[in-house]
Amino acid sequence: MAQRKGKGSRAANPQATDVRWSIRFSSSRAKSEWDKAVVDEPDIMASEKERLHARPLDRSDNPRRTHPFKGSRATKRILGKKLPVLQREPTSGGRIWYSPDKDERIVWINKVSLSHPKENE
Amino acid sequence: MPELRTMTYQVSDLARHYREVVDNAKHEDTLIRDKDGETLVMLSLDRAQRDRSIAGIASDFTRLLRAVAMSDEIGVVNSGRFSFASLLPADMRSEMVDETYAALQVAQSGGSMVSLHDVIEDWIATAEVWADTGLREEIFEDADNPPADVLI
Repeated sequence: MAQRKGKGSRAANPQATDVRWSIRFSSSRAKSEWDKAVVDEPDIMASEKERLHARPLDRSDNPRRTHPFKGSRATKRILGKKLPVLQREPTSGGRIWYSPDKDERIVWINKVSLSHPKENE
Repeated sequence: MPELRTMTYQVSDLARHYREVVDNAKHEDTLIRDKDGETLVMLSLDRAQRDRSIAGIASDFTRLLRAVAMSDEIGVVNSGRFSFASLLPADMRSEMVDETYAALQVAQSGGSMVSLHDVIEDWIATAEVWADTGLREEIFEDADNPPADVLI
């Protein structure tokens, strides 16, 4: 499922639009959450993984289910780089929060929850 | 307000030139003057729904602005579809107001309603997360040493 990233594994031209995005995790907690979600909902997560590989910035398929967070404070610093944060809603209660790095074509997974946090209160 | 492009017909034109009147109404506001002097407007359902939607959003937005101006937090909570503003700190609330105002102006000028709805929906998602301190920290905490794993 997840492999160690080796030297030189990044695409030669990360700006090219036909280059698929790499998916990484901004924390070990995020990776654990992703792995658990894959076990719980394999079909949904396979679909979400493919979407993140191919078109993480695309909102046209269902505009109401992908929301870029707004406001100058709503950014995340990963390896010193300030990145936007998007919220994806794969199910009515599920959420995936991720940060796309357009320059490197990396999608950083920040958190995964297939049950909306408010439902657990 | 954007300039209203109109074509005016007499009510008798509905019988004699109904096709022209109806076709015109699909593209621009069409005025029909009755014999008693009263003027009616014919417009497409899409246009009518769009106007009503913008008016509803503008009304709630005005309630929000009034509440913010009066430092009335209860009023902010009761500002209809903008009640989520109560979840935002002052600086982000100000950014939301500026961005929504700009999107509202674009929509009112005939621009995209989708953009206006997206701006509001995106801010709602932001506010919901921002109000949950634990969730916000998990999502936005700096990542100086992320795992090296790459998902294939």
